[in-house]
Amino acid sequence: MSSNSDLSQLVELGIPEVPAELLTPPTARILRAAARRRRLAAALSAAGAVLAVLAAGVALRPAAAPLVTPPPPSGGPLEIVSGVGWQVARVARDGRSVRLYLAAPPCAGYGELSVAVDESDELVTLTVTGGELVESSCAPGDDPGAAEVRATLDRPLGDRALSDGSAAGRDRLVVREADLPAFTGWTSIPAKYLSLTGESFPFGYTRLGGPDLRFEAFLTPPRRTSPAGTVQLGSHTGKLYPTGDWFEVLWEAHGVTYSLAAQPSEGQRLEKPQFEQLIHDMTWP
Amino acid sequence: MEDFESYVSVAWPRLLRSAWLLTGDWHKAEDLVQTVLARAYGRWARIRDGSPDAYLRAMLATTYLSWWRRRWRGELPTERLPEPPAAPDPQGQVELRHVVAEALARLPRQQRAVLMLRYLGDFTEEATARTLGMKAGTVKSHTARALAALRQDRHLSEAIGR
Repeated sequence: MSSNSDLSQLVELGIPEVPAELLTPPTARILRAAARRRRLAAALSAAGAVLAVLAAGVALRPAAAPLVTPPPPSGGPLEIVSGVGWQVARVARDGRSVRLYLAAPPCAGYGELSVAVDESDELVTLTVTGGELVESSCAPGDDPGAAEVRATLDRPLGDRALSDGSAAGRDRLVVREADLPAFTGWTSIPAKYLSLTGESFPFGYTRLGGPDLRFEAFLTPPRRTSPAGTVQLGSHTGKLYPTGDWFEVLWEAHGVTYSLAAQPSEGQRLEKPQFEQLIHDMTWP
Repeated sequence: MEDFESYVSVAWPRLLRSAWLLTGDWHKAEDLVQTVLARAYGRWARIRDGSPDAYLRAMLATTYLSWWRRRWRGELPTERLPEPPAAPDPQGQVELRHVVAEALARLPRQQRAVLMLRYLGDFTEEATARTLGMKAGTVKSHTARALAALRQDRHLSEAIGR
């Protein structure tokens, strides 16, 4: 192996044949995801376009212009007249505390948000109001990511559906912590959601010595092949899958598919029996 | 858009293989290609008149590196493969492929991105550098280091020497 052509052959040789079950493209799923992206972009475009112009005004200024007085601030936040849709709701284990996550346009964040709560026996509707967009830095790493706003229900959500008052009838991803195992001894990993679409929502927990728990909630079940067995998760049954790096377990609760993988500390491995033991040692609902 | 769907039906396997070289896992590869195609759909009118394969492979590489940075801190490169060979293999070709795949999966993610663009996408060094936001010299050094790492891989040397 001494040349680029050898390397090229090796790359070709090293990629396995595509498994037969993956040969058919999930075109419908791709088109649905594209449609969701389009709807989200349309909802954000009006305010985003104004902010982009304002941001461009700053970005296009010559870099070395020490004698030019910077333009005054843009005049404060821009009020949003339409409803502010949320993409993901995370309901705490008590069933009453809810965190809503809202994607913002690039280089912008939300000002103070509030939530109107409307409860019935079958349905809880949360409508985010008072949203104002404020400019933020466009520098890499400075993007504030998705906004978060909290609401408190009069009584636990239970099996009631949770809906977005600004987008009636549209499916929203609702993560119920009561459907997850107890996290005694684990610490939540801080997360910043930079491209939240509402199709999935990752979150994680860690503890001294590892491993890290990697969860992801999905609005529609992700496609997986070659299950490596099933495992009982309290009142639910999960399916185990190898992921290449380690193992993950998938289960469904309240119409949401959850995935849990355990990421070992650097330099360590976590084989299937250890993963099964880890799952077994957790307290599941 | 009918031509988008036609393109997807034809290009899907080769995009999936490109994504596998990045992720080392078929499920992650499938997620990555789906994400990129969903993004590309809105720009399809512009993409289709150029070189869709090159455009999408560039998106695969940048989206993959962005996932790595953003979604999970401290994620480790793939160390093993999910599906070991099962078919009879009297010539040892499947085993060789498996060893090569493992060696590729052990490469750092940026080297894998460079290899994917250079050797599956036929990108020039300059185009690879522009796509990944690095200097052409860095592309050269990633390629050289990948080659050196593969050359020094004991399992690979044994498999090729057999």
